[in-house]
Amino acid sequence: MKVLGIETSCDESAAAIYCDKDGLLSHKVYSQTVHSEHGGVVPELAARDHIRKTLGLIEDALSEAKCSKDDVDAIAYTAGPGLAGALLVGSMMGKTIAYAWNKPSIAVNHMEGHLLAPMLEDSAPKPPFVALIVSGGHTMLVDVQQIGEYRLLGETVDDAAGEAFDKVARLLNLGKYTGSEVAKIAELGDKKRFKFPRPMTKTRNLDFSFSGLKTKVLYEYQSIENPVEQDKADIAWAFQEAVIETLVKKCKLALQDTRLNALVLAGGVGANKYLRQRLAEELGDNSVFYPRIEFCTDNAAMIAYAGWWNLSQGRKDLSLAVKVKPRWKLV
Amino acid sequence: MGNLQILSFETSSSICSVALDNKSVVSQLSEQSANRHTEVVLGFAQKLLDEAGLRLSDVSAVSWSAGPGSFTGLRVGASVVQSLGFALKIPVINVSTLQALAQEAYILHGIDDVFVAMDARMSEIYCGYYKLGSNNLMQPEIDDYLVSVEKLSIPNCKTYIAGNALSEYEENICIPSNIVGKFDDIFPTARAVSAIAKYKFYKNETCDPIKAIPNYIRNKVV
Ligand SMILES: Nc1ncnc2c1ncn2[C@@H]1O[C@H](COP(=O)(O)OP(=O)(O)O)[C@@H](O)[C@H]1O
Repeated sequence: MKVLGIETSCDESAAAIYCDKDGLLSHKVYSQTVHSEHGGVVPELAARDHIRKTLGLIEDALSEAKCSKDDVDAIAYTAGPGLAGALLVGSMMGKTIAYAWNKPSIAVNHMEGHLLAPMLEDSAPKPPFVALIVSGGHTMLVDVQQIGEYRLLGETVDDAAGEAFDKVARLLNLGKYTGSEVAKIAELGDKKRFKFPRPMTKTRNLDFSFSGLKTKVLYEYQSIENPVEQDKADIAWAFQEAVIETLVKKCKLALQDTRLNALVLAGGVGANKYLRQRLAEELGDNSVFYPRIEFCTDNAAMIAYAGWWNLSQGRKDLSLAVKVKPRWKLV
Repeated sequence: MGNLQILSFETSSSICSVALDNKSVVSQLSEQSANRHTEVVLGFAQKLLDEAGLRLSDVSAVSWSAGPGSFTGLRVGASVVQSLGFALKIPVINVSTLQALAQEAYILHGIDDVFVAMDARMSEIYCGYYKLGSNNLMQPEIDDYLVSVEKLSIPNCKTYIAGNALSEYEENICIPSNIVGKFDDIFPTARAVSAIAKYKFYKNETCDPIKAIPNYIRNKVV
């Protein structure tokens, strides 16, 4: 069975083909650049760019997978959560192509896509496991007894971890306002100079909070007179460490509480090397599963996979109505 | 020429309409559906095909109202025609929304000379000036443009004026005496798009599906 996946929930346009027999056949991503000068994703610009790029990616994904209409069994698209105008483009395209080809379509939850991204790897996790989803819009721990059966263990009460990374990148005026820039400069940081609090780690609950940390970083940085690159690196290191130690600690707690022994890491912040390293060190006997780096951030491979999985459970949509769900909750 | 079927979409305003031209017999479905275009548009298309006893694969080309208009509405139309064009391997025809509005004025009232003014929100108006040309189609005298309500200048000749900007900005627009009549309740429709599209189809003014990109006119959005 082959599924075409389409993703346009934020600032990546993407298309991919997943085959249950042969795995991922192709995947194409275009990361928008129109937002860089605005210091954050501008919803209207995002939607405009999706209209220009998405169809070309769909064509490329199909031709690289040597698939035509007859080979595709269903079309999966991200219906939410995300930016309404951006979601609309991929959803309407997915549904319309399904209509024209007389195939079922599947509305996929973007977060479920992230959560299932490690399933595309050779060493795929088998439920039950705990999933840590850390992206630009979400930070949550989920108990996954089976695929499709999710229980929320904890989530952020304010900013998402990725959002905090983005804001710090902006504060430090790094070339691009993204977490990977913070991670890069942090490598050069003095590990002893600053120490930021690990928010909400004193209690045993599994919720997160990153907005206070972000404010502390702001004050600390503003108190430095004429900051140079080294100051930025030192701050970046201490910030990254505070976030990551918090994430690691909560993951350990979640595994203890659920008595599970496997952790799945998903979402953009999952690309952070230091996070991966610390999880490997701290979770010793437990196994940790990651998607490959490029499938941590938004992509359509995970959407095609999630679509296939939902289809295999008999879930499909033959209606002609499209509804985007900007606030669709996974749990 | 006899076997042409064109499916046309108008999603640029609060009204969603779809029209089918089946060998020159035009049928249309429309609904005042503010934010429900995505929910109704494909169903309309299928219903028109069913009523005509056609299948989607019988369609020779798709056309749409490509702007200016509601940004989100235009992207519903663009997503639909790009996808249909691609999936059915048929060409797309882009039609100006204001031309469709002028054409609708002609269809409804036989008007052959019209200044169109569509509300662009934020105290601005999308404008165009159209006159009846060959084949009973309204043709642009100038390029469509965007102007603030204060700077609106209505042509100084015997013409009609049509579009919802007239009622939206009633207090701010003064209609000169040369205006023969005004119609503030005319909206662009898929049947008007269809009439223009058919002519463009024969003139080979079609495009690849991927080129079905909205003409927003308003490009300063940040
Ligand atoms: N190496 C990294 N370290 C920390 N954060 C990162 C890294 N790479 C990406 N991110 C963060 O991941 C987020 C983007 O992830 P993504 O899953 O695409 O999120 P969303 O779908 O919510 O936009 C951004 O907030 C970005 O800062």
